[in-house]
Amino acid sequence: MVKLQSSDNEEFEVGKNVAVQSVLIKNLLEDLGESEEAIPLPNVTGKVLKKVIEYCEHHKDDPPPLRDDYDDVPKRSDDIEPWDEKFIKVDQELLFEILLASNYMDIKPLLDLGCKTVANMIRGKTPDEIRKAFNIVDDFTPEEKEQIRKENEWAEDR
Amino acid sequence: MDTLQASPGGSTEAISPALSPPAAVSFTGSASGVCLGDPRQPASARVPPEVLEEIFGLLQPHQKALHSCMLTCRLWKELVTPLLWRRPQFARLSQVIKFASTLSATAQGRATSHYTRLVHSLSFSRLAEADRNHPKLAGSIGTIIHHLVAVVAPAAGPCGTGDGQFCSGPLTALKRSKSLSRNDEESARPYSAIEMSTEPSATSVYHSAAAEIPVASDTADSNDDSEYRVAYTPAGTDPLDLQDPQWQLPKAASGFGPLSKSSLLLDVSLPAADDTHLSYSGASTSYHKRSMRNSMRGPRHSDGLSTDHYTSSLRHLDLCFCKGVRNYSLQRLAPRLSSLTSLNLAGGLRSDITMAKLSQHLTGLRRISLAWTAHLTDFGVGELAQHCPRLEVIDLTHCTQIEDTSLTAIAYNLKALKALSVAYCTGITDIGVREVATKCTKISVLNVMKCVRVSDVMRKTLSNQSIICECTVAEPFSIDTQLSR
Repeated sequence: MVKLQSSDNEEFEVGKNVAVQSVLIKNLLEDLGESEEAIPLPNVTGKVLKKVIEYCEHHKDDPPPLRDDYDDVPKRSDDIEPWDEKFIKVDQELLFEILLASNYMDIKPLLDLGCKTVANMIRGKTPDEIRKAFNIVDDFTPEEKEQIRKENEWAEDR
Repeated sequence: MDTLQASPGGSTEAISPALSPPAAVSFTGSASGVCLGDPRQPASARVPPEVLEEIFGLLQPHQKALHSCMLTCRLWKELVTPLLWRRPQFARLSQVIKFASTLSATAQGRATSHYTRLVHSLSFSRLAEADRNHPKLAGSIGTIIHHLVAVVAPAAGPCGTGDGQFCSGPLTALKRSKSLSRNDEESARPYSAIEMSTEPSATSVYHSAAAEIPVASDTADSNDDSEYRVAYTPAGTDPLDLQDPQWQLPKAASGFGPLSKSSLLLDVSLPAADDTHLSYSGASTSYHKRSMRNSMRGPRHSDGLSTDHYTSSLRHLDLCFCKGVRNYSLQRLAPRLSSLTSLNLAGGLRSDITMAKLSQHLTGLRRISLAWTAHLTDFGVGELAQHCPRLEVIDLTHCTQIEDTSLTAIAYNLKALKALSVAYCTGITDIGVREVATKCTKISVLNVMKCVRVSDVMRKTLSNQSIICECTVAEPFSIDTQLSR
């Protein structure tokens, strides 16, 4: 068993096969050896860590993912499995927290799931809607925006 | 345009909160800039660029979404631009035309557009059929390719057409269409003597040949137009009237006019032209002869007979069923396509001559599809096999004229071959299949579906060598996916 400690000092005890899905923890365990001490995860709150562990519990018996061929075939965002889809149906703040945590803890499948979900959220939105959803401040000058619009007009589906 | 352009704040502001998830609304006030890593920021504003890139990568098939992302903020624009331009997708001809004019507009003077280096793959197969067959397509593609390709050797002058303005004036177009009296498919293409010389004497020497050569004029630049009039008017007749009936056989798709065989014998610049294909090699020789003489007259009109003068980031070109891009247009572009590793010409009515010309320049090609090319014969495949030794995937599905000679040429030249489809090629027999199976040691797929003259024993032999001999409907043969399996 491995102990994990969240930023708000919540402790979680998980099986090693669950914990090592995080490459960060896997490397830590390899470098430091197993110990009774809890591994601190200062960037992850208890609420988020709980979700992350839930994901890793469910996927602990998954076969290792096929190595990316780095071929020129574009990846898809519409192939999310039903369990994953239900799992990731959370409020938006938590979704992004999970995304950040999976990036920090280096859990590739969860990061992929988060990215796919966010990509699907972006689809069908106008730039203004995206800015709102992502808390982005529009830092373009009107001239800049007009130029970008003009140079990429071909990409506008109409 | 949409509503966004009208007002950055006003009207859209009222709509957005209703559409965006409720969680986001509460954070909009606090966001004062993209400040990554600050824990006081909402999580959505702390997503690092590498994760954003991952997300945008998933949006590549959804061009409209990428386009929207690009207009959100500077950081996103920086991240999205290379993705959007890497693999542009076109659903309508108007998009292709806009894309071409953007490249022209962003290329200041002679310098290339800053977008040029980003384009890696061009596919026109998603256009509607009417757009794929539209003669304007060739002109726009010509413009795009000219902008994507940089000249490496400064001495060569082929950039004379580098301004990319291929559209001929309306007057010339009218003149051309008047000269066309036939309504069959071959004559529907406009005519132009693209390679004509500016020297009057040379023009008179060549005018007859030029008049006999119907070509797609879409890539003709303005100079060509004036030369066209000089060259063509003296002939005064519909070029097709001069044609010997044998040249109107469907297989003479390259549309070259009659030439006496004695003149052909003077110049055999194409290798491996066996007697049965004399008509083809003849036509091709005439083309080459013309090009060679033109290039001898001066670099201005050099048609890039010499290779490796161009460099480009373009690797994939998909002209699947794009009949609007005529064989002649493609031949003209050939020297500029030398950077390609993947080329899809399926269903494009390509001729042996076009393949001979392309093969000479596309020596680094790794995947090619010529499926549904009814005019392709062993000669065209032989040229391909001889000049493109790095080919790994070839699709010759439904090339009904090819026979074992093609397979032999493939077997002896293409040691890197991994997958080949000759499905529905009824001329293929066990002999050719055995050659490929034994000589091409890396082959794992040899699709001989519906090849009626390939025996069951042969299929069994292939299976025993772990070679897939029939691609299923679920996993059809495709040059785009064949290697990644």
